[in-house]
Amino acid sequence: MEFQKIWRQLENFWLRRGCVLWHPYNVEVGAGTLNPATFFGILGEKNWRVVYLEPSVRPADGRYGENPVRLYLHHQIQVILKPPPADVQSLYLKSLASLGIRTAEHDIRFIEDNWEAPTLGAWGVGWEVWLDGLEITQFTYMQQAGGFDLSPVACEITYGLDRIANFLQGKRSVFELAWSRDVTFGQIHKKKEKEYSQYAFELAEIPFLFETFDRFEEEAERILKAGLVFPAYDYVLKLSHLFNWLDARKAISVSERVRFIARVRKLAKVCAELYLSNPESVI
Amino acid sequence: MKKGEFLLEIGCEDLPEWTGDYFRERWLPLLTGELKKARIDHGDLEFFTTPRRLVVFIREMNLYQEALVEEVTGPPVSAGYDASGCPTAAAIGFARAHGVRVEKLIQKEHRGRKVLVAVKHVPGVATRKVIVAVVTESLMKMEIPRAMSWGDKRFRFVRPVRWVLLLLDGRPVPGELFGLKIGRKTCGHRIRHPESFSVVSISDYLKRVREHRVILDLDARREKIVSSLKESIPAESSFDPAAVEQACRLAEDPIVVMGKVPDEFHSLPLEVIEAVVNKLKAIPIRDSRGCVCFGLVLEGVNNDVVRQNYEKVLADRLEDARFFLSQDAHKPLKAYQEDLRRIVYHPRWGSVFDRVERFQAMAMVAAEKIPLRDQQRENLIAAVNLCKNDLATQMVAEFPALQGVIGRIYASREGYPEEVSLAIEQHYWPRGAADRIPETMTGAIVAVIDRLESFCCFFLEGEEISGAGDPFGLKRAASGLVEIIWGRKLSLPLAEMIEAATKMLKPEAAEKVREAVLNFIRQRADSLLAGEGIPAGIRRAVLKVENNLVVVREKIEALREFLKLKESEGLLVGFTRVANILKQAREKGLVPGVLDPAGFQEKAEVALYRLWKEEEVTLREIYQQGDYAGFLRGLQKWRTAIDSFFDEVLVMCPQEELCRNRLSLLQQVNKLFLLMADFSYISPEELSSHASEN
Repeated sequence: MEFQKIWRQLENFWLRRGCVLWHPYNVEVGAGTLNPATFFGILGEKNWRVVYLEPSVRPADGRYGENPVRLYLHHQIQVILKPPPADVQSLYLKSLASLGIRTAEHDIRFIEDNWEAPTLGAWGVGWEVWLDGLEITQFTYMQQAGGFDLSPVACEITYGLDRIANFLQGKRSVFELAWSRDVTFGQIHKKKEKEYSQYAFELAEIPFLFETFDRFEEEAERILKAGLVFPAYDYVLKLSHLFNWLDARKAISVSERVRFIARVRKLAKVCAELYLSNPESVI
Repeated sequence: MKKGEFLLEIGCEDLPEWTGDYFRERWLPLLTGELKKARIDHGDLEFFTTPRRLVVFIREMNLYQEALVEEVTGPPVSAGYDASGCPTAAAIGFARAHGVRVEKLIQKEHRGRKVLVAVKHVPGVATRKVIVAVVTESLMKMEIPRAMSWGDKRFRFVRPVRWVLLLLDGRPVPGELFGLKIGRKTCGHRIRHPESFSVVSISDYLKRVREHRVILDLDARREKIVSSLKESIPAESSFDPAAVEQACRLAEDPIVVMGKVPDEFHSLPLEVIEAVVNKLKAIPIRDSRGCVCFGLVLEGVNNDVVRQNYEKVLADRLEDARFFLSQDAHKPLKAYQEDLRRIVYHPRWGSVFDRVERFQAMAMVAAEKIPLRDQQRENLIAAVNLCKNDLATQMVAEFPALQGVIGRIYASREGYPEEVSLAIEQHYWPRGAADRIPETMTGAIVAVIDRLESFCCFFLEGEEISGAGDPFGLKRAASGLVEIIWGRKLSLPLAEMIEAATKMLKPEAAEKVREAVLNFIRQRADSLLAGEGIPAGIRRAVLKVENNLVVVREKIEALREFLKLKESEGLLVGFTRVANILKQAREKGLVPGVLDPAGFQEKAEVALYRLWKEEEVTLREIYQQGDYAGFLRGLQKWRTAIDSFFDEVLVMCPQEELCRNRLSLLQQVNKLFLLMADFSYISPEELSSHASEN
């Protein structure tokens, strides 16, 4: 099954189960959880179901396009079900079956894995899902976001699209994947992987990144004082991304790390608070 | 009383592997406690867990609560009856309030007064009516780590609860648990037999669940894994029992399939291959070639495709490991020390680099004092310098469980002496209770240094360790330290080593920290000795006078042997009398004088003086040689002399000078005894029970 068809199929599967189709966010994020569709979607009392693709940027995971599975940018399919239906686990298994994975013939395991995003003040409890030993999904019952207890709780299913495609196409390297019938993943991403890795590990200018971090933080604070949630939240995402770049450059020592994370979390909390004070939109 | 079966199954989404053991230990006592509180008598409890179920059988449970007889105290008798002996309004009101007829009130003493007492008989209700509340209460009382909710905030558990089966006497109990209606339905293996079905009894449940491919009993799952492993591997191969324990907790229907480590990876270090296999929750198998195959434990499936897929994942991870190993080799192990500056040990106590600097200072003190010869000393310094370096490598970042092992591998590859490379790995030993202690002397010393330094940090801020728990693992670490010192007979200058470390942390706290750490270690030694059945008196007698833990051990062994002898008892009484009379004198402000042999009057005191004079030097020599048994044997001849002394001599005599001379003789004698132990701690009762034990 082509990469693009797997993507389309998972979206369709969840659309048929009442999810809103949403899009990747237009600010770099390290995970689909940071997309406002999840961060704000899971706050508050409303019910919410959404599915979207999220190209997730993790600078430290870049390998210049030379590692068969590690990527600067990998693809997640993100599903939020709030509140989670009682048969959510079997729905998930059905979604795998819809990709042609005969679940009865494979070893599918839900291995304890508790997820945490310290920059968002978010955590949850759940599993890594293994398909014959390959980790293909992070399955989480989110308990808190922005420091707020979630009620109702939301279930987050994050498929590792690259991994699943590798499995389905029987490829060892993502770059060999057929994106479509004529185009490979490598043709689209290989050069990008190399350039972004070069930038993240070698070229990114550390003083510039630190300075930008400070400026963006000030800007976010200023916007929040004016009571605007969404533009401020975009700056939170930019801060989180800057932090990841600095981290990839090993520019942040372990003790500073904690402080930087706390700075981002503080802003994320204010965004959540402000959003909850007047939740008139769904996300 | 009519009895029936109790069957409870809590069906969940996949539970973490620790859940079963955790609930067995904590929940079962709560459940039996609540049953008792609810006056529901029952037979034995059987408990089973799988990754998706917690199951309790009680084959005999009373179907009614026991009746309750309750006594309520009321007004005093004097206020309860009037002059003619008729009940007053107070008595009538009290009786009515408790549903008892007034003539049934009885009289009892209560706090020195006679009062009226109503004896209430509360009949038991049907177990069926209260059992849900009992189960709920026991679950509410559970402290669950990272408890989660899955929708409705009212309920929290380890993972979402999806069905509840609760049969009493073959019928479902009305009510709800975790917001779910209780029923008689359960379901089979998720993949093989996902259908749900109803059961009517424990035996029916057992049979049907088995038919639906669920092995309820952990022991049976373990047995299945072990027997299929044994069938598939040659007799000379071995497998890690800890990996089996993990695997049997992760599948309802474990099926073992043998996988192969691809040839191209056989040259990787054995521990690395095993760590990668472990990460897949598979069971590494060792033979003379290393780890070339492994047991995959699958959940209810068995086919070649699955095996091949696992092998592919394994190959990818081994490839990663190989990449990290080669990356790490870009610089020598020694050079990683600089990177330890980046690794925070604790915000207040600095980086791992700072720790190693403290280790170095401690090692110098130890080497001086032991003393170590040239090569040994060099080995110790090298091992201390290198012991934490692997924490900065990519391999340990990726496989934290391999800390120490990676350091050993790299050091040995770089040609360090074996003593050094082994010490790097072994300084983490023992890793838990019942684990082995370091085999190499250098490893043992570094292990002691590492632990001692961490205690110095902890006690720096005047923190205290109290109570039964061990949240920071410090008690365990200190027990390990004592075990190492005893096992390797390491006479280390602990006090000086502590000072060396504390000087670099907070010089002004040096003395306080030293006392706190030594005391903490002594407590652990004491508790280990208690665990071996050494009576408290003997432990204290020795720990009071002896700081060197190796000597503590030797003295205790000598004392145990000595105290088994019948004669010892009388001697002990003598020792204690000497100690006690000196204590009394001190309390009265009487100070022993300068010993004056010419000043003695009685025969018995002259005899004791002579004995002391003749024996003192010899005994001290025997003591210096560490022959504690010999020392105690030498004391035996003192019994008669001490006994006659106390029979014939009045120490606290009115002539002050004479009295002080006698005290000074006793003080000299006591000093000699105190070399060995403070015998006044050993009570005669303990002694006799100790003698009879043997």
